[in-house]
Amino acid sequence: MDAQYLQVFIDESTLHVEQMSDGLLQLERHPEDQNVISTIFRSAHTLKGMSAAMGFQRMATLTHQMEQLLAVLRDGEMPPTAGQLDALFAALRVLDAMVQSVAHSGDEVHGAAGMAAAEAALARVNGAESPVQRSASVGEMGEQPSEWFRDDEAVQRGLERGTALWHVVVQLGPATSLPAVRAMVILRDCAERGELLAARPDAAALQAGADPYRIEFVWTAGDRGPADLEAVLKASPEVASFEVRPVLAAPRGAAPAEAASAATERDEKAAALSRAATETADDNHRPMAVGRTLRVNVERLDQLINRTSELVMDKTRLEQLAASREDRALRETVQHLARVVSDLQEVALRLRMVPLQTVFGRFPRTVRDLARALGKRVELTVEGGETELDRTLIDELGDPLLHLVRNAIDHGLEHPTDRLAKGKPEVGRLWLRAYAAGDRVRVELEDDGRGIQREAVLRKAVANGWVSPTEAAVMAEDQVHALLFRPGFSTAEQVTEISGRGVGLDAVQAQMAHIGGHVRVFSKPGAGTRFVIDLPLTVSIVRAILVEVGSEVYAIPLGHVVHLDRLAEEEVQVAHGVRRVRFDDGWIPLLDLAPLLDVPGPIQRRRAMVAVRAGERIAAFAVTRLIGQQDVVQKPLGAYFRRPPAGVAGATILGDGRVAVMLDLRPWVP
Amino acid sequence: MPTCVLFDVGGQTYGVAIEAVQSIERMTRVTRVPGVPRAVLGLIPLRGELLPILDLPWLLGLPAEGVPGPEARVLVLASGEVSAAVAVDKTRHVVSYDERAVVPDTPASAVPGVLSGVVQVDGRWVGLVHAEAVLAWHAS
Repeated sequence: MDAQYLQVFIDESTLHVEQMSDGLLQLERHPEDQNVISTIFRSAHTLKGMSAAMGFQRMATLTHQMEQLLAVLRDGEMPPTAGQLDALFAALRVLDAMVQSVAHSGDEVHGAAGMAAAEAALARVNGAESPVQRSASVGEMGEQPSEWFRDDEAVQRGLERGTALWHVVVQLGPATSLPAVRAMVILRDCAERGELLAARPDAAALQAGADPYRIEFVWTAGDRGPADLEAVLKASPEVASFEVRPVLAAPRGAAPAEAASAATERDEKAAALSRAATETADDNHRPMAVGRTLRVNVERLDQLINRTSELVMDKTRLEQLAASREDRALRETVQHLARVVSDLQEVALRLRMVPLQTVFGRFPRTVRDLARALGKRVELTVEGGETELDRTLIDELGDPLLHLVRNAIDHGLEHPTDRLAKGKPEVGRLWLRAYAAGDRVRVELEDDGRGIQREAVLRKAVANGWVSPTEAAVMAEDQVHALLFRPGFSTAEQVTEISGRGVGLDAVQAQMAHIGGHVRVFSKPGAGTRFVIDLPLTVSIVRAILVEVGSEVYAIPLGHVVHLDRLAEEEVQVAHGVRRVRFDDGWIPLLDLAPLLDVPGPIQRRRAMVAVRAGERIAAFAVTRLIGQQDVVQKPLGAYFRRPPAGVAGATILGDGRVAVMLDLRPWVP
Repeated sequence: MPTCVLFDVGGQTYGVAIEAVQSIERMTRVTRVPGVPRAVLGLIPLRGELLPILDLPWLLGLPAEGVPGPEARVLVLASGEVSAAVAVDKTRHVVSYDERAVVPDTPASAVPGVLSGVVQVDGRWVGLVHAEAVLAWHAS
């Protein structure tokens, strides 16, 4: 399998599955929308062609069946029934799984579980609801002969056994002498080279005078392809034309027969893929890209960014050196170099940015499937998919977000009857929003469900011994919410398969912290809940304050710093054992950073302080010295650390090559 | 026949599977990180990336190390997604050994699982360090 074709196939298929998903969701909401059926049909058709060209027989077969049903819907007058839509969604789920399987292992097999059920569902809704059966050859869009053989016992048995069946249509030339005899001879010859399961007209009918000029039959040769058959038909001078098409079940390994094609396999693949690309580009359902794009190997990109980061360090060093030399030419050159390197780094970092739509794209269908499984009605609104986030962060966002969505649908949103009883609209609402806020990106998930039930949460907390009943009685709202993030918390009475145990929120918080983000929750009992995931815009370049604490250097991101100042002992007040300093027209607590960080050795006098804001509260932290402000590349601590230690938000490599741990002082603000 | 890299730490010789050694680097400055597990000494920079450096003598149950000498090196161990560095006094050579000759004998002072046994190589007994255990051991 050509690696480059495979990647193109994976990317294009993923796009088509998503388009089909969006289309089906739209169709479900507006069953009378004929246009969207055509759009879905086109995607299915393209996907079928690509899969066949790449040799993914199961995918080709499944899309072929979806296409059949879609063709019926497109040409019929009836809007799709719920059963038909469910069958299409089920098939799409299997298709999606197969595309994922190809992406992970190069083979569709691992995603094919459930294919038989999906095929059965499609066949049921197709047969039951439409009088005209249509079939189409793989990769062709032409005249559709009817599948008269579908009910034939022998054919059914052949399908069940999973052998490759071929539907053959033979047209005899009009000048054929003794055409009935000719037809019978052809049937006999073909039967000798395999097994004839059904024929129309069959030998008996031919003898009785049926039209012999057009014969159709279903033929199989076990695992062998129809090459023998085609040879016989080609060699027969009375045969004016013939067509061989696969029938439903997936032939093992054999590529479907294309009518008289001399192209090499490579050309077929390339043709199918370029057809797909053109069709996708023309389809205005989703623009491929604004401007031109290029696929880039992620490892190479990371290498580029690492080297650029090292360049930044050298640039800083050069700036220091140039400043200390009386060499104007050198200084000017270094200045220019510094600008170029800064620009270079910014561009390199931008290369890693990916729109959040890549994560959001799956959710509409997931929400629909979950809602149906739980008997709830949910409408999802997605906003801000064009907001960009660094690629590594995007990778880490998917699972936690999925977990929150499942929780919202399972526990947050009420059943339609409950909602109506409460005077809420029957359909529950779910919002997924992304937006940039300064140097952060926020992803919000909001629902209009039952909200966080304070009583239930406190009951659980007291039962677990986390809180005493007295504390529970006076607990502030945000503290109650904070309890939800404790490990092992779940207010679900049953452990449902959908959400699993309450391992959720603490794991979500930990995963977000690992990438430099965090989760907050806001809620109104009875009205709904909103989770806000706060993430760094890029995985690096953060403006930070460098401080000395004892002999150690730390970097504090500027984002939460509200004030920096010298610290004079005379200005420190002590009240009730708590040290305080003036801030604005009030007082804020003053904490010593050295003991909080366990800094070893004797600590010199604290001569400066950094004031940090955490929500509404502010505190000052005393340090030995303020070194300065700098743009630093914030790096996560790495996979070895399952959770970052308290107060640590990664580390950075300074211009002199030293490592400085980056601190998030907010947990320590009292 | 498994192959391992021999190295000295705390005056004794050990070996670690060659597949687990990603690279051998010069000793570099360690930056302490507050609040990390006992096994972690801190972070070191390596070609633009950050690596945790682990306290191998402590994991092996040996007394604490002194100042690293000129032959000191850093072994970067990796298993799956996780990598970490350990400092060693010196690296020796690469040897193969017969896994049937490995004797399960670990000092009580070592962290459980870190040593998978001892084996005789070139006439001396060397302890076999289990890299995955080193990389996975966290004190909470």
